[in-house]
Amino acid sequence: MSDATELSCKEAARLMSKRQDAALTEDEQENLKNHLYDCLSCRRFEQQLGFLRQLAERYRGEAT
Amino acid sequence: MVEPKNFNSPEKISALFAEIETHRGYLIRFAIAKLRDAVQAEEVVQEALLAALDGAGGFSGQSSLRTWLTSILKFKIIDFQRRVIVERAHFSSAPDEDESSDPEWMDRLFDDSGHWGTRLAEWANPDEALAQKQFFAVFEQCMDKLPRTTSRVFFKREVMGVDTDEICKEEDISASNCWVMLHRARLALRECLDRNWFQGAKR
Repeated sequence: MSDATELSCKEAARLMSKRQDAALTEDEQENLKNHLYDCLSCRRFEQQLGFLRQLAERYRGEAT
Repeated sequence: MVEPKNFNSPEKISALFAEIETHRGYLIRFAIAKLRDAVQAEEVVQEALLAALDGAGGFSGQSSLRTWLTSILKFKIIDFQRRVIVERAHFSSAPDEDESSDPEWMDRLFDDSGHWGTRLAEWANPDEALAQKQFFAVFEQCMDKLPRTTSRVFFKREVMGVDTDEICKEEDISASNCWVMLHRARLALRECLDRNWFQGAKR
């Protein structure tokens, strides 16, 4: 049973970050999905978080 | 006599020497993440680099130089920890940010209703950035600006790829505390890269 709540960007950002380290609950996933659908800035944040992870991985192995 | 596979001439050794130096910054951060102490980290990296030069013939060139140096450093760190195990209890650092309330810089990112204060701009050509040395230098500077514990937790999680559970144990913090720190690190790094690279480059 999902209890839809409108997330603020601040909360959405926190969930996106948490998702990189742990599984979200179904409600959290649902609320986040709804928020991302409407919010361009948060979609960009999502991409940039992914990039940050890629960057850190590259930094570990890279002969820079 | 066994011939080392690579780096067996003086020219090659000195080329390796120069190349090894370029990894010092990374190795020091790695050591700081483990040891929590910059001075000790410098020391142990120095030991590792000397050992690396000594054993340069052992570098087969099959792994990246950074990976090889990191594996030497790991042994040196373990050695070092054994030597200072008694002292170690004394230098656990105090948490540098209060986790119960958001720091002021975070409040500035979002307005009162929790929306982004400024709309996030798209990052142009992120793959190109990954190919540039200078970009990694900016990344290092951005990590160095984080509060010490936050920076260490981020480094362990994202660069070293350690599970949050293990980080919590090592740092003696709760899981939620760990997520808070990681989230702050990511927000701050995003801001820093945005300001110092992606938006800066457009100017």
